[in-house]
Amino acid sequence: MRLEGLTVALRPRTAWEATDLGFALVRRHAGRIWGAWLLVTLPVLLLLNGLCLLLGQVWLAGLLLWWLKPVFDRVPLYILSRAVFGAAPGVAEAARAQLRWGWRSMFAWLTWRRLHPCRSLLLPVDLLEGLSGARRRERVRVLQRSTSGTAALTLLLAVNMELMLNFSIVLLGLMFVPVEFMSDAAKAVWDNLIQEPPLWAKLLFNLIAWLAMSLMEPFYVGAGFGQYLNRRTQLEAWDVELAFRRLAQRLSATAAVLALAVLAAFAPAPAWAEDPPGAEQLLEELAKAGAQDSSKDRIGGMAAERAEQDLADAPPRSLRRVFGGQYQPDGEAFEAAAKKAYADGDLNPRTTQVVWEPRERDPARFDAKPPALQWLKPLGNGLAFLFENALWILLAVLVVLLIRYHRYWLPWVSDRFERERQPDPVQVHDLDLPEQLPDDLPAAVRALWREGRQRAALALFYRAAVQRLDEALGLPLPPGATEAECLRRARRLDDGDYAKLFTRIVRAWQSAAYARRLPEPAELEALLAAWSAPRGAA
Amino acid sequence: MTLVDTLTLVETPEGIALRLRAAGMLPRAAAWVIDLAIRIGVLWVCAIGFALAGEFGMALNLILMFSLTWGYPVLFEVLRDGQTPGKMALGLRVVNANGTPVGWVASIVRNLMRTVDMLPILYGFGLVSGLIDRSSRRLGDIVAGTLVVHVEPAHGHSAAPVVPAVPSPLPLPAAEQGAIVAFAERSRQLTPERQRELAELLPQLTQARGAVAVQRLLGLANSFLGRD
Repeated sequence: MRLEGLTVALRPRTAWEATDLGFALVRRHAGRIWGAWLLVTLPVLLLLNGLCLLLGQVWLAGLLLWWLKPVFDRVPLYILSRAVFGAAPGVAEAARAQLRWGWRSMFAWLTWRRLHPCRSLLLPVDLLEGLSGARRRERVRVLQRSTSGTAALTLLLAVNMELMLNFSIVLLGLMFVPVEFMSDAAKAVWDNLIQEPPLWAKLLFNLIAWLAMSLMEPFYVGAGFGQYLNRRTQLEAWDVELAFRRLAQRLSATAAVLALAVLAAFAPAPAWAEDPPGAEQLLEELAKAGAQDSSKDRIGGMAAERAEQDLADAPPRSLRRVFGGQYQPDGEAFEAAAKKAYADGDLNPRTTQVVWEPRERDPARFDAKPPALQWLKPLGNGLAFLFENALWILLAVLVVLLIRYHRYWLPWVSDRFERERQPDPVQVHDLDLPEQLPDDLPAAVRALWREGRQRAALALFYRAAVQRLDEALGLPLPPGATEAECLRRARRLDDGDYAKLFTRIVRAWQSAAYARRLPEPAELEALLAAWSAPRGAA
Repeated sequence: MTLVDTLTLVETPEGIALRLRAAGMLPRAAAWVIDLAIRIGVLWVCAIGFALAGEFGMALNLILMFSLTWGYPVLFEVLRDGQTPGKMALGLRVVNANGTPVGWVASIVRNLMRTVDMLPILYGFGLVSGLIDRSSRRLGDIVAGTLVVHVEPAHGHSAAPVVPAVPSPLPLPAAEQGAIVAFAERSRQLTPERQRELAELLPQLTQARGAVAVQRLLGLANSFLGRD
């Protein structure tokens, strides 16, 4: 078995995905599969129906056709199993092969294994591996271990799909009956075809069953084959083998060269990193080589040789600088190996370019100018002068424009020139609150309120409320405490009444300060009254 | 000839090829059967309750039947990330053809198109369409531009056995390191003979034969996995 020849993408798949792979395989080789299928099954269909017609038992033909399914299953399996390895047989070849291929296990499949739930999974074991006895039992056990459930469900689904197709084909005819005649037609079909079918209807049903089977059975076999392939891929790590073979092939092709190249590349790496002139020198050499010697395919070779020399010289020099007296030059063998590695074609690819050149070069032929056009020369010179100066003028205009409008494009090109945006001016309301709180706070608040400085009044009130909170709690608030922090702290108060009042004062202040929603004068009065009321406990 | 596979490749604007594992007719049919069983079960249980309410109950029953038939797939697909309970059980998901989550319009269209897929009876057209199409789309999927994909990861192997790490004698690209790690992760499913056979394919890396080669390869895998 040559896995390299596989035409299937191998990767770990779930059992259901494996059935999809089988379907994809059947689709890929559809022409061959159904061609051979027709060649094999159609004669059997005609023969069986003819025989049973003679016996007067037409239904028997349908049953026998169904019973013979394992025999027909060999057709898609024969094609798929060979197509997987890139050797898909032709229709005639596949049909001919059915005469002798895979009959050995057919007796079992047509008798005690006919109703086996994992038929399409296990057919490949018998037909492709040809095992029998204890070895077959062992193989089947291993194969079925994790896939028998899916395989059985596959059979169940395939049987139902075939039934669906049967009904669909029968009803496809009724679809074309106009709606007005639908009930009559359905009744006629029921009476004539289902209740007491005439002979032609029985034969028609056999034909329809064969059609449905022909459509579904290759897919069922394909699904089982896909599961079989997937299971073997799991058990024998086919995908790993393929990857290993590719890897081994790559390694053996480059093994010797690669090993040396790795040694040569890794050993002096730090020295190169520290010594950039080496690399620049190399580039210069390359450029020189290119400029001096332009004789076709020598370029690559010259450059490569110079590069080799350069590489051979550079590392020891810089290594000596790094290691000083401790440096010991590499042995002859290493030098030779490194040279050999650099001589490898992969490192210094040389290509040969073939160019056609005239055998006899006649310079006169190319240099000769048609004398008739000589008079055009002054005209051409004049035009050239004009356009040249026009271009210069255009350039000057562009430069002027660029300078004139630098304000617009300069910030766009670089944000370094962008001026820092000034923040919007802040509107400062001078609240000019007194340093000390007034003794009669309500009076002061009312005075401010009457003056029309309501916000200042509320601010004063809020400040007093916070101060009272501080006093009640006995510890000062941190500077810059927000209203929310004050409210949280107020919750710790023992004095529930003041805590509620404080909350109301803060809310009034907040709506005024942040939403410009001033409290009603009556509301303010109520707050002030509560403020002045004698405190319960204190 | 390209390799046969079930992947549908979608290229994103960033130039990344997404690999969608399009699901075939068999797992989709299995998911459909589960969804059907759930709906019939719900309908049956409710019908017992509605039977007590006489003709009004019968009306309720019809409304329930209607909403189960048309609402069930759409609601689950849009709200549960493309998965009805049946699809969830089978590890499937409905996505747009470009791999994005399915939206209301696409889901409603693909489910309304069931009326066409059901023709002539029992999803005949849908089945044939799904068998023919490369990505197993039924007609509704083609019209709505959707795809049913596998989301269940195809693992099934165990962690790589822990052995002392062996540093690689050669630098290997990621894909080849991956193959060696895959060998280690799946080694427990392989027979010892097969393990040796595979390990002996890489004499350049193992410099040994037989069981020693297997151990070296496992050690390499451990070093690629970053174990000590």
